[in-house]
This record gives sequence, structure tokens and C-alpha cells, in this order.
Amino acid sequence: MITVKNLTKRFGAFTAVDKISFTVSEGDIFGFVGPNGAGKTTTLRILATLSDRTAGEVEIDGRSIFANARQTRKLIGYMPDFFGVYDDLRVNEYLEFYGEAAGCTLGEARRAIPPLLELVGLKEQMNEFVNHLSRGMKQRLCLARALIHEPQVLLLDEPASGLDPRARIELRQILRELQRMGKTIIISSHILSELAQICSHIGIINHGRLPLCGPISEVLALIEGDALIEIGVLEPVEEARLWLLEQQEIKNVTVNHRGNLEIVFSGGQTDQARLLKALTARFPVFYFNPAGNNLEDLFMKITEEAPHENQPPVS
Amino acid sequence: MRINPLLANELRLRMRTWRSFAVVSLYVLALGGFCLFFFTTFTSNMAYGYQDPSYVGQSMFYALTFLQCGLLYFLLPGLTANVITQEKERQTFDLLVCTQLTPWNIVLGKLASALSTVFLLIIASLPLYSIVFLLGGVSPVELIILTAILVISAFNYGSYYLFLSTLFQRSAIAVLASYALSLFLAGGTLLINGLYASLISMRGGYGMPLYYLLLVNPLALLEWLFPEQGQEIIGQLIEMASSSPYPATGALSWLRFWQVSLLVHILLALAALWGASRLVDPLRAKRKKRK
Repeated sequence: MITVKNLTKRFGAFTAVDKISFTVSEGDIFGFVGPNGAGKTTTLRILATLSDRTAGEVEIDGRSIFANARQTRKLIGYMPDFFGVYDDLRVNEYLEFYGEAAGCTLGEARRAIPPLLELVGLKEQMNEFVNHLSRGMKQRLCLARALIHEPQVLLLDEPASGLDPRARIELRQILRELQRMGKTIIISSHILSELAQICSHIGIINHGRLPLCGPISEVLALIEGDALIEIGVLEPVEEARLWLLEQQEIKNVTVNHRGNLEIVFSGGQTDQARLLKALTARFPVFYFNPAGNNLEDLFMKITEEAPHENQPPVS
Repeated sequence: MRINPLLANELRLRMRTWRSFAVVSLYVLALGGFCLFFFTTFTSNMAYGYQDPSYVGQSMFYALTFLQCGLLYFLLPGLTANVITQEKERQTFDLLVCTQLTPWNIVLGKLASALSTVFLLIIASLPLYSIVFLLGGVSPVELIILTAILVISAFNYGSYYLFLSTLFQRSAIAVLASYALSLFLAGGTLLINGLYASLISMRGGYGMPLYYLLLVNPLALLEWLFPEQGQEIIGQLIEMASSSPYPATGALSWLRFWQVSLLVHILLALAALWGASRLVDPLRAKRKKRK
């Protein structure tokens, strides 16, 4: 449904997005992961027709989004990484305004508001002023705004930033519901674990490039191949280190600044459990912490493997 | 007919703040206070001898006109120069662009909302002119011309300031730039002419060759309302500049300075709105830069 081909965006000498290509099928949730300044927002702004590209092409249903930006905006619901609200409006007035601006009649907008507010959990706040809402509520109101004209595609830029854990869980539930409704969603975040739970596909962006892109299961399998595990062992540490080096799934063992052992482990979770069992049988283990699939580890891995290449999707 | 949603929303937002009511109240109070002062002075002067009420009415009309023009001219940058920058500061600008509103919808909706306050001020001041009619000396046509001048000038200058609003990111800078522009148009054009004429006279010459700069001066349009006085002043200027008579003779005898000024202002205002609509469209603006 959405095809991005060699998309490039330069601001003077600085290249914010560098020849990235990916495809998102209808009904998919595509996660865009990358650290701050990686190019996520720039890419989403181009997709939302808020910024022109320097080179490349973006198509929705085979049609260039730049050829008729107004037509494209009908298909897209964009939620930026800021609220963008009028504090002196009530919740329903805010949605009525954006509904009309998006091309609905006032009647259509008014009919669409109650089910939308129910979906995002703001039905009780329908007549409240926007400036009385909490941060999480404002975030959900912005999501409702992006949905008011029933777009096929949702572009969500860091929708969970600044939300407390409960609000994050609620947001995930809403996104799953939207996926069930058949929406195609592109969502950006700098927290991989946050996206891993809801996305069907994922793209890792760094320095404007997309070194890794594909179905979430395949991307995570790549990361899981080399997990970093920190192990705290009481004396004798050196003996434990030598024993660990002899294990089949362990590629390397080092001692970190805390005096703990750090191993590069190539096995899965079952292998980790087996290792822990064997280790505790031999040594007094007080700490065992798989560093997890965090972004830092992932980027270390990706940039080591392909620092300058825009790899094709893994599948 | 469907009302521009941006205009409807802006009107709702404007009417919800105390600022709009304060501006209207202060404006009517200022004009009303002036009328009261004028009327009191007139009635007290009557004790010392007869004064023609129509002469007083006319003087009051002149004074009220200049006061109202001055007040609106002073208020206009503050009312229009921040309409787009406010959206940028509130971070709602991108969201507007993302809708089905065209750049012209956004620009005209914003201009109309800003001018609605100006029109409200003009309408609110109309009852004060009833005092003038009580004294006589002024015809209803003159009041209609004055209202037309105010409305057209508000549209013209509002368009310039709105263009500046699309050009800058911060309201403070846009408002400051708009006040600088308004100062240049009202005072700068006169000053440049005066200085240039002095320079020429110091060198032994005589004239005011830059008089066409005064076409953009807000006072030029007042010739429409006060044709005799306007003709006299402008006639002297043109004679100084080119030794030509004013009004011109022959085929252009019908043409007046204020008409050319009005045409220039309307063309400039349309150009400003066109420029603003280009700047509001992110794709069009960037494409132009890329070329």
C-alpha cells in the first residue's frame, strides 16, 4: 500500500534521510525505530506531505503523494510528536473543527465524535476544555483528531513519549483496535521494546539510513542471536570466566567496570535458562541480567555489520 | 454556503477571551471620551457667542475621522501580524496544513478572522457619528466613504501584515516587523520625501521628485473623503515635483491621486496574499527553494 523508494531529504549540507526504501502493506503496523535525530520525524513529515523530499518517491496505492498532496491528505491521519491543541476549545469543538477542516460536514463530524471518543477513552471528557485534560488525555485526543476523517493510513510520531506506563498500555490497546479496524499504521519510537509488542514490521533508522527492515519476528531473531548478558559471581570470578568460555553458545567473556562478567551469548531463551541452571550449580551467582533487545545493543550490532549500506528488507 | 471552518473556529476563540471585549470597550471609550470632550467644549463656547453648529459638526467629523484612522492604523499590526505565527507557536500550523484546507482557505480564513475584530470596532464606533449628524455639516455619503476607506485600508494593510506573519516563526518578530512597516508607510514615505526635497533645495534645486512614494502613504486615500483639501495638498506636491497641473488635463482629467493609491494598495495586497499562500504550502515553498 505504501511504497517508499530511495527517499532522500537534505537540509543544506546535512542529509537527514538518505535513500531509504521500504514497503508497508495494508493493515500492517510498521514501527520506525531510531535514536533522536535519526530521521524518523523527517520521514514521517514527508509522508504526511508537510515537507518536500530532495529525491526519491513515496506512493500510496501506486500514486505519488506529491502529485496531489490534497488528495493524499484525505488518506492520511497524522499525529505529530507534540500536542497541537487549542486550549480554549472544548474536546467536541476541537474535533468538530478538525473534522470540518478535513472535509467532513458539521453533521458528519458530530456523528463521528462519540464513537471516536469512546475508542480513545475520552467520552466522559467530551464537554471539557482541552486545557483541563492531562497529558495522556491530550495525546489520546490528538489520536482522535487524526482519525476524525476516517483515514486509511495513520502516521504516529512518538505517540507514547511522555506517557506513564498505564497510558502506554492503553495506547497499545487502542492501536491494536485500530489495526483490527483495518488501518495501516506507521509509528515511530526510540524504544524498541515498545514497538516490538504491537508492530508487525519494523525498520531501524540511524543517521538517516535504514540498515534493517522487515517483519518483527525476523528482526528480533537477528538480535536474539547475540544477546549481551551481565553475570555477577562471587569468588572465584576467574574460574567462572574460564568455565563460561568453554560453553558452546558463548562467543566472548569480559569483565566490566563493576567487576561483573559480560558474555556475548548466541542462544535463545531456553539456552539462557540452561546456562543459568548450570552456572548456579557450580558458582555462587548473585546477578544474571540479559541486557535485552535494547536499542543500544541493536545499533551496536547493526552499525558494526553495515555502517554504510542500506540493506534490503530481511524478507 | 459553507463557512470557512478556520474562520468559524477563530471567531469562537476570539470571543472567548477577555482581550476582544477589552479592545472594543477601550476603543469605544476613547472615541466616546473624545466626542464628549468636543461636545462639552462646543456647548461651553456657546455661552460666549453664537457658533454655527454645522461648522462644529464638520470639525468634529474631521477630528473623529483622523482619530479613528490613527487608532485603527495603530491596532491593525497587533491584530493581524500574529495570526499565522500564533498557529506556529501553538504547534497547530502543521495540523492545519494536513487538512483539506487549501493555502488560500488558510490565508483568507485567518485574514477574515483578524479583520472581523476591525469591522467590529468600526461598527461599534458608528453610533458616535450620530452626534455629528445632530450638529449637521456632514452628509451620510461622507460617512459611507469613511467606512469604505476604513474597510479597504484594513484589508490592504492586514494583507501586508499577514504576509509578514507567514514569513516569520515568532509572533513578537512578526508584530515588530509589521509596526516597522506601518511606520515606514505612514511616516517614512513623508520623511524620505522631505529629506530628499531638502537635499535638492540645498543644491539650489526645487521639487519633490519622489512624490509617487506617497501613493503607499495611508493618508493618500483620505483625498477621497476630503477632495478639496486633498486636491490642494497633492496639487502642490505634484507641481513641485513635475510642474504638471493636478488634476491632469486631457484624457486623464478624471484620474485622482487617491484612485491610483487605492489601485496600488489593492495590487500590493493581492500580491501579499498570493505570497502568503505560497509560504503556507510547505511543498510549494520548498519546491521554489529547490529551483
